[in-house]
Amino acid sequence: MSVLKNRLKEHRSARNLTQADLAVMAQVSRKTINTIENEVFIPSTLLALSLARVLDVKVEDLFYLEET
Amino acid sequence: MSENERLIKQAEHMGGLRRLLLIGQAVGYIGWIGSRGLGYVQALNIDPLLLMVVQNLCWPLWGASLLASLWLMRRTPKNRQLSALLDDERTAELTKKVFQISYWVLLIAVALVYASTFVTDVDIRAVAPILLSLGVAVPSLTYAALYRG
Repeated sequence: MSVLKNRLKEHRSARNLTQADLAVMAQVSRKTINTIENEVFIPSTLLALSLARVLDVKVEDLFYLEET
Repeated sequence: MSENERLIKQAEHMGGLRRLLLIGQAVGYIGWIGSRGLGYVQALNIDPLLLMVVQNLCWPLWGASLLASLWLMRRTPKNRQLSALLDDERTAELTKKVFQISYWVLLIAVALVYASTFVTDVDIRAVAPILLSLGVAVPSLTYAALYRG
């Protein structure tokens, strides 16, 4: 079975952004960023693409599938 | 504090206020309509005077929290940035969950009331207000519980 994983925290930290900064840039709540980073909430394609655009990375660098 | 941090704090305060108002609505409605139902049938041997006091305390609480919620709903979209930070796709998903949970709770509650009619006399004057208040309280409290932060 495949599970969606992400490197959001690594990319955010690499740009010295706080969760609040990223939330405002992506126009979502801080809790949404927090729950995505903790892999509790799975974002929509639209939000995944906006996060990738805001962080200036490819969406597949941010999100990937892991086999369990 | 950075501008982003200030905006997020403002959105989180509004979110907290929304949760508080939902809890106020739920508690106010249960107290008001629920105590009316109990008062009709004088169930549980509760002093009618106490029920009257609860009713008169609870309906203003419900009314005030409802009005404040409507004011907040009207005010929030005016600030687009704040609105986006408060209501995003996670909150839309929570709302869907709240409807599903509330549907099942009400369905089970109605089924239990129906089942209880086979073994006891159920007074609809007591049960209907309790079911009605459950219909308001369950979605409000579920949303308030799920929407944290």
